[in-house]
Amino acid sequence: MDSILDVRMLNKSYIGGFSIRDVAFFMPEGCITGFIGVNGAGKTTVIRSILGLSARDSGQIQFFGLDFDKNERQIKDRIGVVLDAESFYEDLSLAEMKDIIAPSYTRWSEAEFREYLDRFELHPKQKIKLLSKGMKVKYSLALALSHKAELLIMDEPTSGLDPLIRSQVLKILTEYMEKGGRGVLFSTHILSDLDKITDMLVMIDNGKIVFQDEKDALLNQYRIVKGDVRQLNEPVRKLILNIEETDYGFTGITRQISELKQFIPDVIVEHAAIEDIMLANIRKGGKK
Amino acid sequence: MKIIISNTSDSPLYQQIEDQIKDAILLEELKEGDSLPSIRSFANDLKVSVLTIRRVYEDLEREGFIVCQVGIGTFVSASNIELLRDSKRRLVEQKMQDMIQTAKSLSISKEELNAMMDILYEED
Amino acid sequence: MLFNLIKKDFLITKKHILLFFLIGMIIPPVFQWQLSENAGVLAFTFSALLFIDLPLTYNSMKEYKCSKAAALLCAAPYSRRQIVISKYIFGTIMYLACCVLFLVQTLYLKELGGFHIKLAILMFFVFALFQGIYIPVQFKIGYEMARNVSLILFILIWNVIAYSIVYEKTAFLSSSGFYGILSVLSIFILVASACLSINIYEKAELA
Repeated sequence: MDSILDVRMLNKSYIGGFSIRDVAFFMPEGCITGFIGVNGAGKTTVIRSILGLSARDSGQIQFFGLDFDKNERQIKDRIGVVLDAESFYEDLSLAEMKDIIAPSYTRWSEAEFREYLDRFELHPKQKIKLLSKGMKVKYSLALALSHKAELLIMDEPTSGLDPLIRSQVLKILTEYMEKGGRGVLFSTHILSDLDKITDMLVMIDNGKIVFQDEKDALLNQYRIVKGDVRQLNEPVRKLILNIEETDYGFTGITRQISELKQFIPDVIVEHAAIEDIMLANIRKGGKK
Repeated sequence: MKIIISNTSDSPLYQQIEDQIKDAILLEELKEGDSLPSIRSFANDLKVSVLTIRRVYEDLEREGFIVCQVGIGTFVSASNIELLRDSKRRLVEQKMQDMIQTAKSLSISKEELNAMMDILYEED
Repeated sequence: MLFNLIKKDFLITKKHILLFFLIGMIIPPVFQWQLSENAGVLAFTFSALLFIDLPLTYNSMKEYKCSKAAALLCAAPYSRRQIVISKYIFGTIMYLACCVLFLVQTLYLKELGGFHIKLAILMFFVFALFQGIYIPVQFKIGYEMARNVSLILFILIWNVIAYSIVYEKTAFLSSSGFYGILSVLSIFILVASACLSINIYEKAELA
């Protein structure tokens, strides 16, 4: 199975000190890939680098098997991009902004764009600055989805949106995949969205990729465990990440549930959500 | 076809789905030639990742239970009916072995066993 | 494609376009009324300078306020080169508009004297200098700091022009060859400046 995006050895450092180092990941064909990490972990830096918005120090980037540097224009023509909601000229109307962006895409479909506007209850003559954040995100989606893009790249599309709009956005992504979209990459720190629709997860922390895994396999690896504090001896502590102890018991997350059960056969086991897994993998002030 | 999967089971999701599809085929809820849903719609309905379903279909195809035709769809395979029949037969044989074992240990003779079977078979 | 980018540059400054035209219409009569001699020359040079400075700096300000929009354009198949070139064309169109406006006014305000092609070429040189310096500078150091540069340029240039006209230090302007050289030089400055701007912008970090 081919990957529609392949990133290798991506490095970029900023003068302030922040850097992304040896970033490597890929997007498999036909999948929604979630790119997760806490604020400041490097998600936006990576996305900017792969879109050519920011010059990278080193690394190879391939879209659809084509080298990005050599085929930039062709690749951009085939990608739909949703960036910050503030990525527009505020004084313009929806139609005027569209008239700027649309002609650069060879497969722009005005009919599809109108359909999306109707569906999102947006009017082409509305001024962008008068739209709410949710409407701006929907407008971004309308633009990104109206030129037969094979791949969507979205940087935190749902942050700041209420749950209703978030679920609408997720539904649109699912539809996009059903209608022939070859992939979606979406970075977010709102993890409840990911439980539902992603197929593949890539996590970044402190500028480095922590893991890339199929969502179901990942969820199968980890378990939330709860039990009596008195059962926590040295070997047990080694098996559990992120232990929280109170007077009433402990809670933690583990990747080694079978070994743990040998020590504490009656430990309470629950399934972990992606958020728990992410928290277990972030570096907290040097200690992990 | 009924497929119910659990996140908290020890068995990985793909395994659970594969097993339940195989059961459905063995129980003839899914017959030869029946089509299976597309990878993405199946994944959406079961709320699992497409990669999981992809793996399920790949495994089932490798084991001969289904066949995937590019551009057309995925279907329950005819090539393995014999294999299925054999495995069903083997399943019954195995149960019979257990039954015979238990009977012997309780000193029930073969004639008694046959008589019991005649009665029970008619009861259905 | 370039056309759409130029259209964009006009769209984001459209509120002020009306203002500019008003300026272009008002200045000549006012100058003519206030200063009888040299009115035409001063009127043209002053309004031309305004047309050279204001649209461009206002355009820069709008881009600065909506800086993430440029990121969206670059994520689309527009090249950074095209984005830069459209600024130069935008500025040039504004300058030509000023010339046309003034030409129209000389037709009914006879005291302004006719429209002088030599004056237009001279101001085109001024335009090339101004834009040639301002655009790469604002790409390099950003709108806020470049604004100071544009202010200084404006004051400097205006003082030189006004001084030359009022004290009649304009003898060298008569020879025709001078204007030929000036035109070529102006174009050369603009092209060199565009290359520099493209170079700067291609390496820029977008929001």
